[in-house]
Amino acid sequence: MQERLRKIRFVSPRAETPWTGPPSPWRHPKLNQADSTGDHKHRVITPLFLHQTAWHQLDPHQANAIAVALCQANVMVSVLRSEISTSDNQSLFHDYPQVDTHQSIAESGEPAASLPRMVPYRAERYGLTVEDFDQASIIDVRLTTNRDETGRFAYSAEQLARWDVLNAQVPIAGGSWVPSATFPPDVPNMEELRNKFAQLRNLSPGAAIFVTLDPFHLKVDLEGVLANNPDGIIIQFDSIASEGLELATLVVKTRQLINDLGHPSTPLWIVPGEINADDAAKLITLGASGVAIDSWFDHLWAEIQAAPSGSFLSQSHYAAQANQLASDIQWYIQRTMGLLHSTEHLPKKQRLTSLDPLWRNALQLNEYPKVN
Amino acid sequence: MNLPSELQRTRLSLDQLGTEEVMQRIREIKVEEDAEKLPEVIIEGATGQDHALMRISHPVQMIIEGALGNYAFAFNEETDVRMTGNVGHGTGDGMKSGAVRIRGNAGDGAGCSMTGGTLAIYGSAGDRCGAAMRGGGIFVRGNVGKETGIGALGGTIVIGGDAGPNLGDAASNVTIFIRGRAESLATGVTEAPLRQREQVRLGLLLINASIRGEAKDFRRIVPQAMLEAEQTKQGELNPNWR
Repeated sequence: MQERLRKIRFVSPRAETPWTGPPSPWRHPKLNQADSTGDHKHRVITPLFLHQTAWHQLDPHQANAIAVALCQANVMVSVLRSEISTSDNQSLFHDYPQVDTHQSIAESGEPAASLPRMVPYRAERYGLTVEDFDQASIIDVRLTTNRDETGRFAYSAEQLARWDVLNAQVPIAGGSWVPSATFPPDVPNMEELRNKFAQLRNLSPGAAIFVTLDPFHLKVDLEGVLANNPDGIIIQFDSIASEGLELATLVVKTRQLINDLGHPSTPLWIVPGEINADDAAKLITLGASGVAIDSWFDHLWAEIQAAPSGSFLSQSHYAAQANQLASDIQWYIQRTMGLLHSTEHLPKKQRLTSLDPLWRNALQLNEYPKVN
Repeated sequence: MNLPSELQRTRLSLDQLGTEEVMQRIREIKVEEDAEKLPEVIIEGATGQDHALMRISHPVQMIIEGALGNYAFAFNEETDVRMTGNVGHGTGDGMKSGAVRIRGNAGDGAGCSMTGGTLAIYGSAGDRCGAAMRGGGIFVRGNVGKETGIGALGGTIVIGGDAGPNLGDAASNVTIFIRGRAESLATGVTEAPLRQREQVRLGLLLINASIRGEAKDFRRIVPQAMLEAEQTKQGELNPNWR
């Protein structure tokens, strides 16, 4: 994995600082600002999430096992039921609490927690079913236009085939791609997004409403979206930032912009593109509340796809494969969380530094080492 | 057997009970398997409430007089709705089955992303009616706004009046029938002859939706590629449209 923020370093405490004690548990910023009164609860999650995964490229059993394994590693996963359910509409991942409810109640005295799950709510809602709203942690309203592998604003035929339920003998668009949209067709303008959010809160009580945006028109888009009081914002910085400094600067400036617009408690989640575990911790320290780690799977993904798949393989095979993947990822998660814990006793402004004055000035970092 | 006089009839007031409580009470209505008619629910106090009567998967007939706001009847299935009054945006959003008949006007995005059932609007509908729909049928007796059927993957849209600009933009396996004039067709969309079988099909659809008129008065609007595939009958051999 590429380290893009190598020039940024974590600061250690001063020599005379007393023993800092064990790290406190990671406290994720509250997701639902409206103070959910939903009757379900979710597991404690890390600030790491999967945002844009090509689930349709995997066998549904395989994809389902991976989603379960990652959630059990406390990574939030964004996926529709139709993307990972089998032909009988079963999804162990989505139905997780029901699977072992009795056992869990017996052991802990209360029902099992839902797996942390984001619902990608695209403008067209292809593949979305009403069951996706059940027990969801976050509804991610995507006000972005999807690009397919060719770079078009489109969805591929393979993606549509996984999503949709039209008669298989009549392929959609003759088996070709279909254009993708940006804005929900039932919302006349940005000012009326509030109504859409209210509908989604009604359909998915307890879920937080996040909005995904591209960064190209950030100020005007953020102004418009934040006026409707979403619970969180996700910015796809991978579409614009190629250099580490660009990425870090965008995170700092976007956090500041959201604060200036009067929403200092609204979480900012980011999709940074390729990063490593250290970068994730640094981006969180710079102001992100959640970081997409899709790139951590790039090499593992190729291995999984190369591995044999098919109906003759048992679910236990897929589970073992997924657990291996989660185990590989676990180290990176621990690295990110470890770095975050290591600085939690330092004031926020003193946690990072850089020897490079360009980086230091752009990110307004303190200068270290202090030699006079 | 239940006689008509024994018809289950429930009255619920939206303004007194609130939308949540009304929806919950509807879901709790017991449905006799051998009943000749669906249980009837008369909804009173409809004064433009948003998000009313959503996600009801229950075979009941709802009769509503008054106005409803945005996202009425979203994600419903099996319900039979007869409403007199206007509705807001996103009416029938994600509807799966059943029928919704509205004697009034609808806002933007009526029937968007619906996958089945029938949505009949006896007034006019706003912009992007039938957007991203994947199945089912939408009937609008009056006019529709711009970009009707945008991104629709399947289903049927019948327009009794005129359509705004960009009709059928980015639509795929959807068929649009229009009686009036379209301000403009979207790129890649064309008018196609109404074949005998479509006249029969449309005639039946009009009867089912209680819309007066003859099928021959309508014209068919389809994606150009869909028409070419139809004409060459190469749909399966050379299916790629784009």
